[in-house]
Amino acid sequence: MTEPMLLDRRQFLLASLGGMGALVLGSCTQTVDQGTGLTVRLPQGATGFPSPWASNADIGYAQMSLLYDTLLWRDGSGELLPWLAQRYQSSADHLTYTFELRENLRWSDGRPLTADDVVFTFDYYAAQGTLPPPVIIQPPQGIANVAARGPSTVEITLTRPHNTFVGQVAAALPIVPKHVWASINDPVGVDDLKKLVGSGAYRLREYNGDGGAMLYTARDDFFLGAPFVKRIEERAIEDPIAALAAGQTDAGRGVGLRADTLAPFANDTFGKITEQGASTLPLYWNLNKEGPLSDVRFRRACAMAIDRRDLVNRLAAGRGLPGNPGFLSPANPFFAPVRQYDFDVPGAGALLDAAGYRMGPGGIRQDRGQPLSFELLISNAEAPLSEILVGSLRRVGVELRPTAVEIGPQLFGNKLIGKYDMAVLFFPGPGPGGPNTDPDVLRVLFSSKVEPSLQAATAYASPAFDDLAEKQRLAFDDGERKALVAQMQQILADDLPMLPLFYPETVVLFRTQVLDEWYFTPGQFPTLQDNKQLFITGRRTGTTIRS
Amino acid sequence: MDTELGGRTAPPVAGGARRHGRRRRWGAIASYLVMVFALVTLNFFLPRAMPGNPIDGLLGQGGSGFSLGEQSRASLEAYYRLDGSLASQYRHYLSRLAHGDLGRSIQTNAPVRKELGRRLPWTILLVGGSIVLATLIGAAAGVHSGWRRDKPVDRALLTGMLTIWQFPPYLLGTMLLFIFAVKLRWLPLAGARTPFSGSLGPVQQILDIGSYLVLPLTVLTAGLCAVSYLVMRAGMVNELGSDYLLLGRAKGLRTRRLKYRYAARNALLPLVGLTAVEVGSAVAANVFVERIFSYPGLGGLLFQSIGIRDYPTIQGVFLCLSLGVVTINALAEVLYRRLDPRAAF
Amino acid sequence: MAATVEVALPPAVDDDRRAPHTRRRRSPLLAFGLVVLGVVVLMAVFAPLLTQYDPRDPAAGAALEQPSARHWLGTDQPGRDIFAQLVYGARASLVVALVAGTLAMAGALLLGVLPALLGGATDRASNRLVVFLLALPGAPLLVLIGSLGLNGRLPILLVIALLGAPPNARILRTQALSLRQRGFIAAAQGFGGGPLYVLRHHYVPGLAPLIAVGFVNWASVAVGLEAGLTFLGLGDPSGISWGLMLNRALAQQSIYFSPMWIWWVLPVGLTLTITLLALTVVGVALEPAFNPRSHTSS
Repeated sequence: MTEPMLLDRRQFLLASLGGMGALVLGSCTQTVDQGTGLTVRLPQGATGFPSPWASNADIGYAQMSLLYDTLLWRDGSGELLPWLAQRYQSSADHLTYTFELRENLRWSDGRPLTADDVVFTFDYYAAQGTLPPPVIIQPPQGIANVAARGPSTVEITLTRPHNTFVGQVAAALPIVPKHVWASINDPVGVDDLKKLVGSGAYRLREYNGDGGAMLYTARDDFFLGAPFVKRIEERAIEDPIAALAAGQTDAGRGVGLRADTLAPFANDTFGKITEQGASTLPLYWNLNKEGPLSDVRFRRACAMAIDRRDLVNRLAAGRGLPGNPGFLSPANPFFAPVRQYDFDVPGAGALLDAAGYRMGPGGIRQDRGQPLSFELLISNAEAPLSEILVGSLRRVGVELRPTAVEIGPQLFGNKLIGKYDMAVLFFPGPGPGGPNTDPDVLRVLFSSKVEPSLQAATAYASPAFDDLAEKQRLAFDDGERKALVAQMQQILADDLPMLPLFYPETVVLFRTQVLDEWYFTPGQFPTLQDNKQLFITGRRTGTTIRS
Repeated sequence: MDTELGGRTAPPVAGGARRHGRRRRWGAIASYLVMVFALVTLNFFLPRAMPGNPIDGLLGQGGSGFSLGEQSRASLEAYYRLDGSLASQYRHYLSRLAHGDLGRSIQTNAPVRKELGRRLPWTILLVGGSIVLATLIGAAAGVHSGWRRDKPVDRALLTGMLTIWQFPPYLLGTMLLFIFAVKLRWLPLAGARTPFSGSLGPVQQILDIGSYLVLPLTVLTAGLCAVSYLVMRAGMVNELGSDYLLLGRAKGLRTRRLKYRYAARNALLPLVGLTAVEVGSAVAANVFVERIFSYPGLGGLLFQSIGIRDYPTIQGVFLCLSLGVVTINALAEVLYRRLDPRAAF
Repeated sequence: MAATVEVALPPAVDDDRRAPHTRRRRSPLLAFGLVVLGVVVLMAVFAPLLTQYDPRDPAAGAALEQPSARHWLGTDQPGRDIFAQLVYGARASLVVALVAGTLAMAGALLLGVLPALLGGATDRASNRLVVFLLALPGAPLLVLIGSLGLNGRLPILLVIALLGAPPNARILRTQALSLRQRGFIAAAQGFGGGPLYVLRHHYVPGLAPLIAVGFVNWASVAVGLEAGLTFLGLGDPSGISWGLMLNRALAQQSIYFSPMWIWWVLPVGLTLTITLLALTVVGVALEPAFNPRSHTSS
């Protein structure tokens, strides 16, 4: 009676094993030419299709920019290099910019890159309306006209002068080929590798093989010459530091790393660079709400009740800087000293007393019979910070009720639409190495004339600040701009619409044998891929390729 | 044809019974269809019941000072077809699904079907492999344990199996990963095979895939084999009391023969019925394992897509997993009925 | 992650013969399980006496302190005492075990026993429902619904209970049906025993052992699942539970580079394992004593 059963079972097992094998072998992709020369292996997989319209977030932008070029590009010192444009000049009124393209530019499909492509790119961006969010979420604003003046000359006219145009548009907007995109109405939906025709130093040879692996190989016909790094391999890895230690990658990035995590890398095999201010965690108060939240005395008392130095010690292993009420990190070149609200629990208590928030039952202060109890919107990943904040404010009689937001990625819809009391968000920047280095970020976040955004202060309106913010945008002299930005920081520190809690240190560890130098590109996201100029030239600065 | 349901061993059926059987089979098929429809519906509404939405998820990823007013938000919602009423979205989802279209991922813009096709083989390899391995190990250990019931071997096996069963898989995974991949460097750290390994020969490729499979497979199997072990052990214990074994012993048959040829073989039957349960818990544990080992299967994709509320991808993975579980359950039921005619209900 | 209840059931074979014998032999196992569970209960109840620290107090010590006389297992990142969290974490696990076990068995009674007693269309419909619920892929469902549970434990508990009801309903239904068919119930009715009498004297003794086993087994699955989900970051991040402790510990970048894992990860992992083991062992040990088939197969 058991005989047929065993037979069936055996057949079943064999069949399923065979099926599995066939499936797996079938899924293997075909051979790729190996390429010789320097290979860099990075621990970050694809986050989206690396076209200018579908690449996601900071890593996606950096990955896309290996394939596409901009008119200008930054090196490790933050200098703008001639890139697709060999030179540019602006008119005296800063309204017209003329870019002179290099002569030997070719798309990866062999066609020449001309001024027409540049004009097309600007027009195409403008025609797309809102795009899903890579770094440049919106079509460039404030551009009146873009026209070709000959095969390799482009003239861009602005509606009004803007000192960030060169850095944030000319050095950020990827130029795309007209002959590929002109016929495409839905650029976001494009996911065909053949459409990734760029002018960049690399070609994408493999994409998303398994869980986001990407392989880039160098283009020897690149306009600056054959790139220094011949091959860039990227793959998704949960723990980049462990992967570096295990010898499976050549660089890894971490934030606020402990001494014992860094210890295995303190030798000649590895190099290390650090940056203070590549990111911060700002605390927001919803100024739209009546009562304490829109009372500056309450916000100042909160600032005094939180020991920001201690946050660095506990949450970033002592590596980093305490938050600055003027928003810019002390390492930012535009930083100006402002009032600091040093840690002072009795002082905070006295301030709250003076403001009329008297102690009520249970050690919670009251405002006209209402307890000072607020919802705190904070990412699940920041739970330790949330616990410290709850404890700190409890000591001065303020209750926080943390509302955790999502697993890791932030889903801060309620912050965006102003449905919150207090919130802590992640903010990339404000530099110097890292994104949002330019002080214009203050205008974007705090001016009441700018459309509300996720990371902007909620309902903050200061006419004096708005005025200064507009002026600094038109200041083309660094000294003049610095003075204006210093005043802006002072207003922010006094009004305290938001408080950066601390700037954890960002560390990049790398295998010196592969590349002996890395940098944090000023104005760029501190991803490992943003060292494009380094990959191409093998040097920290300039456009000359190391041999 | 009708006798198929009853299995080979079923007695010939009379006309009335045949009609009854046919009706019952249609009933079973109809109930499966209802179940699939219910799953498809659940699949649509569950992701949307989660707080947050894909637009926020996308924004959160970028993290820079995006300015996004009401109008831009509306146009993004329109692009991803999140602007209509829930009912119209549901109709759209059903009609696309009927055409076999699972939509495009909001995260990667790739068709969900393509992404599933890329990842499914890895999950099948990992889950299927661990079920086969767990059944083999569990059954072998169970036979041994049951045969020597209450002897030290049995005690040790029982304690060991139960302990491994209950040790948190994520802890086991991270520890093994650190020891074998970071410290000893014997095995790779993450993924399913060496990327860009196109130049390897077929044998090397299989070895390569195998080396990536070792750790996740071990962790998944560790959490599964206790199940078949316990069932096999109990089965053996029962068989040992059977008359035919006493008879066999009296007749002087060799122990080995009795143990494997008779006792173990009869105790095997319940293991088939167990498959469905095992698939369920293997798929569950798989979510953890794929995440820890960055294994490019469906579990990791599900977790990732939930993180940014990528509705089409969540739906695709969920549908894929639930249809898989339903199908395997149905197959197991058919197989079980075939093997054991007593089990018809 | 642990499997469902059905797995531990021995196959359908008449084993009346060995039940008493097995019960005696298995008792050391049962004793181990009960002692461990007793310790966990004591830990949960007397947590405030076992440690002077509030497990939520970030000012209990400096960040990531090593074990010392003050902090037996050191402190975590904000500075909370790890031993205090371990002790108080027992409460979360016990609540999960009790609530999920109870809800699952209540659901099983509602879906399995009640319809079986009523019979007819109700029984058929509820059986369909049970088959449907059994086919749901539990894990993805948990992950989906778990993300609803960021700010409270209730949603997760409900899902775990929901997943536990169908397999137990199936087992209980079989038993209830066979009890109904039994001659003695009919006989009891014939002799004038009212429905309540039948329920109390026949169904309750027939079903209670199965309910006990199901409860213990599902409690163990629930504790494991809850820990796993909070580990994945799907639980209430402000709670104090073992899964959350592991989540925090493993969220430390490369924790195994540091000796920290010895006093942070290991004690929590072992406590969780031993507790789960105790629950499983109690379940396994109860089963031969109450083997359902020993009542059905005669």
